[in-house]
Amino acid sequence: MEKGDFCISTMASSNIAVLLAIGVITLLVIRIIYVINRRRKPLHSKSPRSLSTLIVLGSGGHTAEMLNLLYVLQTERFKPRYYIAAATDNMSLQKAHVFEDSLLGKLLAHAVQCEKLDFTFCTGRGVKVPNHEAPEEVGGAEFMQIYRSREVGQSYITSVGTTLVAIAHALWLMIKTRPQVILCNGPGTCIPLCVIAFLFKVLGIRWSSIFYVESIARVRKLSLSGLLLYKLHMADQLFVQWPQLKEKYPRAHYVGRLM
Amino acid sequence: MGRGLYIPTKSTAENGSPALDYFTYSSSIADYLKSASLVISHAGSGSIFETLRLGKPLIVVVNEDLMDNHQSELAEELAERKHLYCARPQTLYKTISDMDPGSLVPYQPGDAKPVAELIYRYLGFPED
Repeated sequence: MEKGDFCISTMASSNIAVLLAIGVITLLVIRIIYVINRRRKPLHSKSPRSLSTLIVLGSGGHTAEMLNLLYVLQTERFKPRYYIAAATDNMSLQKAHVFEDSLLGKLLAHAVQCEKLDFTFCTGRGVKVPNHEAPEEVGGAEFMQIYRSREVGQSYITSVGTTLVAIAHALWLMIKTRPQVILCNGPGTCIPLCVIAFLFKVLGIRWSSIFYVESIARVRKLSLSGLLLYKLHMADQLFVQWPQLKEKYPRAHYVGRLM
Repeated sequence: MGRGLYIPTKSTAENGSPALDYFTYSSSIADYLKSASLVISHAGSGSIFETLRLGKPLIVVVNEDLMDNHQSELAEELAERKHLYCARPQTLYKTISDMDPGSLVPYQPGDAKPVAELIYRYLGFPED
């Protein structure tokens, strides 16, 4: 008799566990569908003041293309800016530094002009740079390096360990920066960051918008990073730089080239 | 040069032979590009667009040994649009002897503003 009760109670509790699991999975699926479909609508009804922005840099050509985009963006809308490049890539962060310094130069020139004009005429882009402010505060940029999951030529066995380290590092950087906007254009390092950003959205930790610009070098096929973000519906907007690609991937945007 | 075994000999312009110089790395080759009247380059997008922006005739030599050879996509597309010549190591000589730089079409640099506008619209910023 007691044994029977026990059986029934374990059956009941396992039923409850199964029901709970089904419930949680259903909620998750609904949430994921919501997150994916939310992409198509404008995020804010009112225009935001500024959004914290993560910029993922790749080597060589990737960085040149990203900088061409950054040069036309109104940087005061995207701040603070967090730049991320692979730990093995020194050139990209250097170029980002040069870009940030050029912004600073513009700001300071503007400030000097403002002082001459007695500040009243200078509502320009809403930029005011009091002299006592430290340059770091004016720029609002941070530079970070991220471990790569696999270096070229690394063996597959050791790459399991390094991949785990890379994912943990990406998670740590994402928790630290919690960006509202992610700009990336190709390097594989953007994938773990974008996946984590997507999970943050699903779990309600942080809402972010992911913009991916496929490299101009991709004319006929998306890169692996681009294809993953496209197929998994993770990028809020995915840009291609050749009309052929737009035909092949209709959800992508084609509005010309960056280079 | 590079990882190869061939080392060129440097020489100055004498007896009608052209001057020859080489280097393994330069942080900025802009000045070399500006002084050139023909550029022969690998298929990297950085080198290609830096040369096209300067309006120099360009021959891109595609490395067929690379595994995932997406690099040739860009060179072939731009060659089809007559912005440059695309060659293979075996066809480089023929490309040089047959080429007519006057028939190349100048490349109009791209503009990132439409991309920025779409991003603004998506995020709810007023457009410029």
